Amino acid sequence: MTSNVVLTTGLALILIGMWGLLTHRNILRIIIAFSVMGTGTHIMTVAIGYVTNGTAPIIDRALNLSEAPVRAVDPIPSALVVTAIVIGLAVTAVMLAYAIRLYQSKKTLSIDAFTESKW
Amino acid sequence: MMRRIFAVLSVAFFGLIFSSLAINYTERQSLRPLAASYVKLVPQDLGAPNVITGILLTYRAFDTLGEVAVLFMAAAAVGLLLGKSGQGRRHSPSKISDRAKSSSEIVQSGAQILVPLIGIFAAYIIMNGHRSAGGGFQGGAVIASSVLLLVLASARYQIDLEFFSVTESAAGVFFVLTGIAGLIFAGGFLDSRVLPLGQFGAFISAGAIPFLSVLLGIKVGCELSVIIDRFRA
Amino acid sequence: MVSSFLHPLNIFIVGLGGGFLIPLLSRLGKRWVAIAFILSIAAMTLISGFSFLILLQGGPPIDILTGGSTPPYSINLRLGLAEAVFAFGVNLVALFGSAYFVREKYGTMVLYLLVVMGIQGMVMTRDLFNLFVFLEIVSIATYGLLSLQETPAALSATFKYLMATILASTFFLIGTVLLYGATGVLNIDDLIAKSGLIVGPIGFTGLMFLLACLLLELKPFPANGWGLDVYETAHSGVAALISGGVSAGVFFALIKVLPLFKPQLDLIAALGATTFVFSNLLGLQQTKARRLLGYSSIGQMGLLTLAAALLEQSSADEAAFLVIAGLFVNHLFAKVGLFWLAGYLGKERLQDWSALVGPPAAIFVFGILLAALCGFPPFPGFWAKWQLVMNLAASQRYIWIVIVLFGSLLEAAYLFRWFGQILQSSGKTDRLSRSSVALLPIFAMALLLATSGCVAAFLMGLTLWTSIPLIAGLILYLLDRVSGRTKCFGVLALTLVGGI
Repeated sequence: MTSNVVLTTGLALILIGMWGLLTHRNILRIIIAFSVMGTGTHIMTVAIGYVTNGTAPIIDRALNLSEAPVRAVDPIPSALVVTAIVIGLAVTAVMLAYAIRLYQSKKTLSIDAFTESKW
Repeated sequence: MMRRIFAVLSVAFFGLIFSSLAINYTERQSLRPLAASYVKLVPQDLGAPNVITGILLTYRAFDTLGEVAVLFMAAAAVGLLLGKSGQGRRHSPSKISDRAKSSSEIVQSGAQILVPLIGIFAAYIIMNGHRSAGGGFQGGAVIASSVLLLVLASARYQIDLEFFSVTESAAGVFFVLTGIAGLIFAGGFLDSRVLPLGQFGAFISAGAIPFLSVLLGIKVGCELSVIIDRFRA
Repeated sequence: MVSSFLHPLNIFIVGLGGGFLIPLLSRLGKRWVAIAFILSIAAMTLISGFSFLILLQGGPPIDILTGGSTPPYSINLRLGLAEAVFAFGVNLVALFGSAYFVREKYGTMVLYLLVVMGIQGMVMTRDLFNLFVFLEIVSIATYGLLSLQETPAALSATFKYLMATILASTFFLIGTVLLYGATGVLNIDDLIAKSGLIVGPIGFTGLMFLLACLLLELKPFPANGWGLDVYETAHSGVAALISGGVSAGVFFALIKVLPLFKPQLDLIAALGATTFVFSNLLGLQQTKARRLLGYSSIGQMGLLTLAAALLEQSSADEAAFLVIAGLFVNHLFAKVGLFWLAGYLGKERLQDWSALVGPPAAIFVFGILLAALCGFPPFPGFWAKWQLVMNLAASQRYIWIVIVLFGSLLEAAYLFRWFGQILQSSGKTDRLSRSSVALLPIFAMALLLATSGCVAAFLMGLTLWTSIPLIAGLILYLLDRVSGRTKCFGVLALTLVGGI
């Protein structure tokens, strides 16, 4: 039950991020939308690893070695999420740097000033 | 108008897919086989109570190395885009500090009190990565948050870019050297069993994992601080 | 001892070690940085070349383990013959291309080194999440390298490229996580073995997200505006790397996971075909050189996707290797050479390239690159297309043959029209002011094309006599001063000899 709620939240965040990405015209809001989408993905990842009534996969007073394989939560998605969060941070930093350069070149943050694609 | 319709249709399409996902998802009652063997293996073979750190710094250490490279490149890319000699910096540092409004008393006093506490907390997170929740990346991010606080509190604060660059590169080189040591002295590249496993749950145990955590923490902290500094106007 | 220095894992150690050392060396001086940069790329090329030679002579694929353990617990990489072709090819291109970056800031050199290492990683890894990490390495290094060109047009093009590729990477991550949720493994070989478990909405959605990312990154028609703007505006060395290197990594990632998509192979082939035909159709309308090269690149990747999907359907592994390796090597060397030539000339419009007519060497090398791109013998593109058509005919899929030939015809049309335009308007534009030394890497590409063509022909069991037409043309061009009658006699003699 818990992970169903968490999974739905994650998926809803991904949808919100997609909506923001497609509709906003301000570059900074588009970058925030990407960030929201990334967060939704991370939440979804953690939700997929949950085991009913499980606890963190750390062997200490609360969880001893013998009952760990039964009561621990899946460690792999958590490891993947650590990497994914760092990568998301790096990508957001590069996007923001480009936003600053774009602003300096045309003094506007609207993406309409920068779309000139044609065949 | 067309753009709106396209956006609505795309989000509706993905919404349908995601709702079918959410409806068909059932919570697992037991661990998947690979995960179960990790939970058994990491405390046994690596001597680390924290299974996730064990996976990140030994079994999937190649991913962690890739992630370190990603952060390093992000710092280099932001440096290229916003660096001193490029278009990014138009004003010299002394002019910045004259023009900037000084921050309020709360932020300044708060910074004085909090920065040492944040530093100790970061060190605690890094050093306990293998024993309880924590790790190199998490601690490094906390260090960077203390640098951010200092930057916000005092416009005159200049971080020593030279020192941070040299430190982060040196930490990276040591990380690769530890990996090579794993190749020569232990089972394979980035095997943490080069150092003795020690007593389970002790402060110094679990092979090279604490050492790698410290290196990671230093590297991530320096890199994020450099990135933050580049964004100052 | 030698073999342990040349073990493929050292590609990553050299790449990462070199990348981390360069900022330290920059404190010592620019010369040290340039030396470290070139040495690192040369070392990576040496390692991949050595492995390629061993594999070409029939050695077994090299399995590379990390983390002191075996898969599925730890990440493993594999260097088979197909991987070696892609890895060695990209390394050679990177080695010659490094000449264009040696004078840049050390940050640029770090990014270049790491993008080359990232492409090697994408080609060799056997773990799905590791593939994601390497994809991000390649992407972020590309974003950094694209900042070399500082014009507003370049910045806008780069930002659109950023948005499209970041969306694609997010899809890849979602796909990987959903696939893990359905099957419980991350290793690609295990996934292929367990592809029966990928039923139900979670697994299927994961597969579709994965496919969406890989296809999006290959810039399919009509979603390729963002790619073209980047090809048009970026620094030419970077555009060459994106067109050749990054496409190599993404395409090989697609091939690696293609066995998971058995029911969708027709769809993938159709998408590749549409891209191939329509990109070449649009290429006919172009007046700017770099944009034309961009359309040609996208078209070639469409052809490669089409070929990969169709050959996977007929499970013809031998033929698949020859076709894909041949088409790819052809595209890589020719396209990279042309982008470098674009940077060398610095002229935008198609007819302004007539500045090439001055030094005979320049127009000769341009002709070779164009001929290879059109798929003429003895270049690998010809052998690969021949093998593809034979294979399709054997399985009686004639409509695909028509599509391949039609698209190739369109490409040959606009490439030859370009050549004609150059020869016609020569004399009206200014001569080249740059030295011929900068042409050296481009020459190297032409030479590599000829060599790989011979290798491909050899692998297919054909003899070198089939390259008679090109050699004849070469001899006749060199003997231009000899009188007309002697030339006609020479042609007749060569035709006789060749026919026999």
